[in-house]
Amino acid sequence: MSVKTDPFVRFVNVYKAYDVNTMVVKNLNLNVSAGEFLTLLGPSGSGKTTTLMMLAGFEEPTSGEIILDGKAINGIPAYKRGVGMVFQNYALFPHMTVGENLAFPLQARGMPRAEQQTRILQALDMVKLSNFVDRRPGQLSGGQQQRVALARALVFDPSLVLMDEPLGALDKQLRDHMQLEIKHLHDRIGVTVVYVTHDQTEALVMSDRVAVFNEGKIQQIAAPSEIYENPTTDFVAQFIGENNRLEGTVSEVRGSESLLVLKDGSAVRTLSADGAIAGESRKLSVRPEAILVGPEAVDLPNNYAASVKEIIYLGDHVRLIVPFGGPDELAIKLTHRRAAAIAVGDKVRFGWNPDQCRALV
Amino acid sequence: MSTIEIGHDVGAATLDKRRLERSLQKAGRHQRLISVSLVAPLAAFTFVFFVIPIFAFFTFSVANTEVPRGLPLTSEAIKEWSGEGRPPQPVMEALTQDLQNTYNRTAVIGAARRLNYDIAGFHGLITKTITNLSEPITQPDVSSENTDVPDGFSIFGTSETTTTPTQTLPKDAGERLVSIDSRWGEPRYWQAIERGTWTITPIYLLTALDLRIGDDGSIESVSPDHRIYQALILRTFGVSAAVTMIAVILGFPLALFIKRQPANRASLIMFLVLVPLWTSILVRTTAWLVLLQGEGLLNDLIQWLHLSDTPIALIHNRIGVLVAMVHICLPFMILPLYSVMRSIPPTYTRAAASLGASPARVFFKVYLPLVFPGLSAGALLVFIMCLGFYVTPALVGGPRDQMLSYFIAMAVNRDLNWGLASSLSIVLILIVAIALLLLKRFSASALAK
Amino acid sequence: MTTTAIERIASTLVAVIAIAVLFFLMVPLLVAVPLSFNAEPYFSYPMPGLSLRWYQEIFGSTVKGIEWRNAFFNSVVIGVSASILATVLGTSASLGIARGDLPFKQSLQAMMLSPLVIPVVVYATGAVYFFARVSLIGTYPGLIVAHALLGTPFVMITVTASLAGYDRNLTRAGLSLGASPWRVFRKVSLPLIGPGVASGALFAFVTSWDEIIVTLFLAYPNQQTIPRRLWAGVNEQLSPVVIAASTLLFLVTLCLLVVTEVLRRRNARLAGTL
Repeated sequence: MSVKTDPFVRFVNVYKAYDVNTMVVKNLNLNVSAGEFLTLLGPSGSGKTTTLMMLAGFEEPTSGEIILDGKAINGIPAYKRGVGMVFQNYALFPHMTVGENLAFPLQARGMPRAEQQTRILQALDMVKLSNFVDRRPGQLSGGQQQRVALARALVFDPSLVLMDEPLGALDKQLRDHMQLEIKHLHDRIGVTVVYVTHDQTEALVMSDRVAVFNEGKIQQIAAPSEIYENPTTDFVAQFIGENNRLEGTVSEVRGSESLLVLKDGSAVRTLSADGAIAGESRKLSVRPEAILVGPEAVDLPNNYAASVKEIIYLGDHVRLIVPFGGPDELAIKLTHRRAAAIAVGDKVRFGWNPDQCRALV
Repeated sequence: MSTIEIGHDVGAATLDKRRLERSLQKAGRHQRLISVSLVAPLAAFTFVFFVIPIFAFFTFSVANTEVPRGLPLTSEAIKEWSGEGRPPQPVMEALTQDLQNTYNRTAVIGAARRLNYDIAGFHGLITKTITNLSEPITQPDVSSENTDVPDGFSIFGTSETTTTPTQTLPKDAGERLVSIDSRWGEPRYWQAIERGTWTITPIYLLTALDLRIGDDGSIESVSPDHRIYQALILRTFGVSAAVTMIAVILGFPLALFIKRQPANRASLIMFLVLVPLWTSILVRTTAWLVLLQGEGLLNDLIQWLHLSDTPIALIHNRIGVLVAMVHICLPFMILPLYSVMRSIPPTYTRAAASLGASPARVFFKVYLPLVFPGLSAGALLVFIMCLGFYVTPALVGGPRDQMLSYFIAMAVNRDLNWGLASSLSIVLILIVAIALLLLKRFSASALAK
Repeated sequence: MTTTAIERIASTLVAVIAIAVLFFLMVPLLVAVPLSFNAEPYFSYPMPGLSLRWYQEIFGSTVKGIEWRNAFFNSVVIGVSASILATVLGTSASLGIARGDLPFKQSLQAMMLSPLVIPVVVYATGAVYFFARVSLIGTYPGLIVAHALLGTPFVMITVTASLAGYDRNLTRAGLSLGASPWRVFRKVSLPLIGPGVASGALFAFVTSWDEIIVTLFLAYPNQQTIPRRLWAGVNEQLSPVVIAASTLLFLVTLCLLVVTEVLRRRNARLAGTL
């Protein structure tokens, strides 16, 4: 997949407020390259949906500029933007057949009938629903409706497609399946996609890049692996995947590493995101799967001992809970094999490498 | 690849509050303009053809223009009067001139009718005085009868004056008036004229509540045999309440029954409930006339069953009114009740039963409170409808079964007493408004569920 | 167990009362309608014979027949015009209210719904004075305006109800697919709220079709409508012709009710697929 360097969509200093006291989007600057699959990820009310709505033309920025393919689109109504959109509850027109739904954008563009027919069949073929032209949306399953919505958003060849939690209404199994299907579709046709979700797995599976939103600001924007492995803020660390978060104070800074002293006096060597200063309070972030237990922990720069407080069975793995860092607890992810010998109350040694943890603001 | 700044560039594009406010207003304005222009036609239509007529009509309840129009000189002169004893000479002369002004006769009669609402008999007094003044050399028989126009709304009682041309009238205007009719010597008649010059008058509103301004200027009840409206208001209230109660008693089991039927049968029964709702009130009332009248079907049935040998009066009395009104209102009771009953999941009553409550207890402690919002909404809806009923009582009721609406129509159509019609309307609207406030509260709590 | 016995008795009692009430609701129509076919001008059973003479009086070429047909024509003209006026104004207002950013929304809505709760006699009396001032009394436009006003709340209620079931994302979807707002309204919104608009229009028509009080106050004697003739018939002398006319009136409303029921089901079916 080729990503052109020239940004296809640009948000320049965009603000959005609904009333004087609540700024929903704060000074947003964001570039999307042509052909990219960008996911806006965040909790509800974080400004991700508003950002999408501004791009679609259903909301106007209070200030700032949105540029699409080199042209400022502020003030251009939604129906003149030529941007495809897939909605959470599909928004298929219930009084039209699948074929009529797909014909709708083509008729609006005054396309000849014959050409409409070929386009509709092509689009339905793409989502493997060629036999459903004459069905009504009400006669289709959720997954099928979702595919029709996808086909409808793509049938008029938009260069940009927006998706607003399109898989939100599906059950888990179907969702997992559709994630891959959408990803493959994107790879095949190379359309630029801006995708909104609050589901981190969805974001990690499908995207070229993920922008994590919180309180109207982008916290971090990067490739999924980067977001997962190198969160730059405490919010990203706790929002993406599972993380142990322990409060501590920076006692010493040595290059990119610093020494963090936790509430119980344990010292932890850690990577420090954006330049920690000695004396500052920071949160230690370490993933449960990064923690090793038993003999392997002994040689690690960070290693400690504590009694197991609880063992939780989670199907494919087991979680140990040990008291650590003062009032806090540490969750450790273990395979069944490794956990077999451990019982509640046993004293265990555990540890991790300094590059597996971070002192975050 | 991409630039992300997280709010640090203060110089570039932070928004100060005032600029933000301005741009927010601008953003909302266009959208609001669309909404306003969609609503404006109906809002303007309703305002011009509904709100204005009703409010213009309401102003009649205090309007007081007849006396200054009919008796302009007297109205001006009486301002100088203290209100005690007989008015001074100029007032008397002014009245004499006003009454002799033949070009203004219609307005004078209007003023006379207006004054009659204040003191019964004033209309007769003025017509008699006009007649006598037009014949300057005559004087009425001292014992001439005073045919008072009866109190209330009937103002067409004519007063006949017998005059005997025996004596010449005194030159002095005051003496002359008193010699025509001794009532001109009583301050209360002049006080009534003085009240007639006020910008607004309370007499219609007082009349609608069976009150009047007494001779000493204070508000008092009218004599018991002239009391009409308090009883009328109570009757309107009572009939509406009775209809509502019967509708609740009859509607509740039917709604419950419909809810317990399978879906297909339930919608068929609902259709049967809706058929009368959609049938003209006139048609239904006609049908009840046929059924209930003396030689009507129900009486035939009663006599055939030998329950009674003589026809029972079922129509043109309270029974007929109640039967026909309940029939009209029942669907409005059943609809909200049924929709609330349908929205109650059976889990609640099952839960209560599983906790060991007896069926009666489940019904009264769990089901009834859950249904109450629908019950109260339906009841208040029916009650409000009943308050305004006109056609049904007019057709199947007797003279003693008429409600406020009937008297409003009669005040305007028969008596041309717009002030009273307006006052009675205000009373009716107030009762409706109170019921509406209750309805709003109940439906709000129903929605909150 | 005693409780189940009590329950059984209670539900039997409910059923008995319910059927009696249902009978009460239906009986006036069931009993009165056949009398319009009575050969003799009496209101008693058994009927001496069947005849269509009362209907012939309505449809015949006598003066009375012409009068009935004039009244019918007037009722239709006034009803259809009032219904169109009420539907256009009421639908537009409901759309505006549903947008949610209307200033003074509560008060405006209360005002526009007020014809529903203000007793008709009060309005009719007020209208006599006002309509006389603006020279609308005794005119067809005057009657149409007054009837339309009484019908608009029904249009607003039914259209608002159908808008409540309308997913606003459908409008957004339409726009995002490149259709202009007007095209989206015509092709997407209107077909979906259409049944609500249509039943509102029918309600408004029936309101006017059955209206008597405002007509009595505002119409001149030469402006006869069916309800007005019925009113006169009932007040003067109840004749089987009145029953026959009532039956016809009833049949018209019954047809309209069936139409709305069909529309309602269609609406429910569409809503179910949303």
